[in-house]
Amino acid sequence: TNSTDTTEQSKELDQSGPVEETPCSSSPPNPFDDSDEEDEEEEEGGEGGKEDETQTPRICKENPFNRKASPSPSKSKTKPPKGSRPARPPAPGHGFPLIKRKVQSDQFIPVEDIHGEMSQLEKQLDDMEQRGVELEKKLRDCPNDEDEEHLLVDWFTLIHEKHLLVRREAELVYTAKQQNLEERQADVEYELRCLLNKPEKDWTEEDKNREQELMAELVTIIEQRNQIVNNMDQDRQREEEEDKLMEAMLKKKGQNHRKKGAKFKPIKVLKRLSHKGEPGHSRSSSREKS
Amino acid sequence: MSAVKALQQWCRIRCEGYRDVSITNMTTSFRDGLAFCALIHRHRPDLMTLGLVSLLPLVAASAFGVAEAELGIPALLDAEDMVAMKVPDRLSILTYVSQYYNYFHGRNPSECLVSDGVSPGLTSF
Repeated sequence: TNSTDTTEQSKELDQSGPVEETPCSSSPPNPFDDSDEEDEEEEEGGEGGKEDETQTPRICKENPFNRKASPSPSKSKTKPPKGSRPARPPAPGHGFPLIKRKVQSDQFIPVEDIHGEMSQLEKQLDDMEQRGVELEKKLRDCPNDEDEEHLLVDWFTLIHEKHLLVRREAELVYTAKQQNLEERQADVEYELRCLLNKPEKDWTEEDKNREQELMAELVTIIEQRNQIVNNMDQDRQREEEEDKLMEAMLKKKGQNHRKKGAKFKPIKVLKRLSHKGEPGHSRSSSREKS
Repeated sequence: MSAVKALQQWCRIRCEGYRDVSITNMTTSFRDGLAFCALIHRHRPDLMTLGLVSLLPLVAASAFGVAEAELGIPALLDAEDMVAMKVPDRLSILTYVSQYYNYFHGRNPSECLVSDGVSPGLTSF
């Protein structure tokens, strides 16, 4: 996470005087603009999406946007009052502008795109299923060892390709989860910042409790994000190892003079392989790729 | 070396030293399931307890179960069927073993069991 960066940026934005000239994002109208009255009041220093329309665009690394604060037991009564434009009263306490930063990685994928790609992958996997069934049939009917060898290469190649697609699906699911966590993190951080903006001597019991809750939630979110990242790394490692297998398989030479095994009822081997590695399974259970 | 030969060779080497496991083909050598236990134990001794008393179908089943639960390798083979068939389905075994290969190849197998000369017995059953 790049929370340190943002903290520093916040410090840069700190001004002793009125906070109206917060260098804020020149980002386009905010798609997440919830038009929540209460939230706009919270956005004392931050430039919410709506407000951008009436301000001259400024350049800022932060991307504030109006979001509902994460659920809290009750709204604090000491929310900073909404300032009138253009001059704003200073933020209570330190004069930190209350900007909600966007917690986002570089590879942000919009949800619709994720869904789109997932359904595409599903279609491809169905095709592979079909090819697998045919290939399996050929393998079992195969009369000689030489043909079998070729077919086996195709077979393992197909399995490998299938693994790749399933892995991509898993990646997409991870990404969706990550992005969801990132949103939550932005909300929690924002609310924390609002809270911390208040001088500690003015904190109520409720504030203290809320701060504890938020910190705990923040930690949880970050832990979950870390876990997802670890899972993705592990999966990537496995992918590399499977590539090695493919190499080895394709480097064959010579004949295989094995006796053919007895015929068996077709068990749709490829299909069985697809009953594992459902995205979202925890690492301790099935995390293999098909 | 052919793909099948390579896979068989890998199994043979990995199962070396385990009592009652002898890989000479990709069918009957795997029938009693001990080979799978050996493969798992060789790489992940923490997952496979040696010396358990067990009926043959259950030996295989335990390996399949462990592989599925801990390694994420779905059981392509049915333990009962394996025993029921005189010659197990070769394609299934090849595919299933290749998944083991995928998983374990490149990871450090546990050498400790064989290096001290003691042949680990899977059938102190």
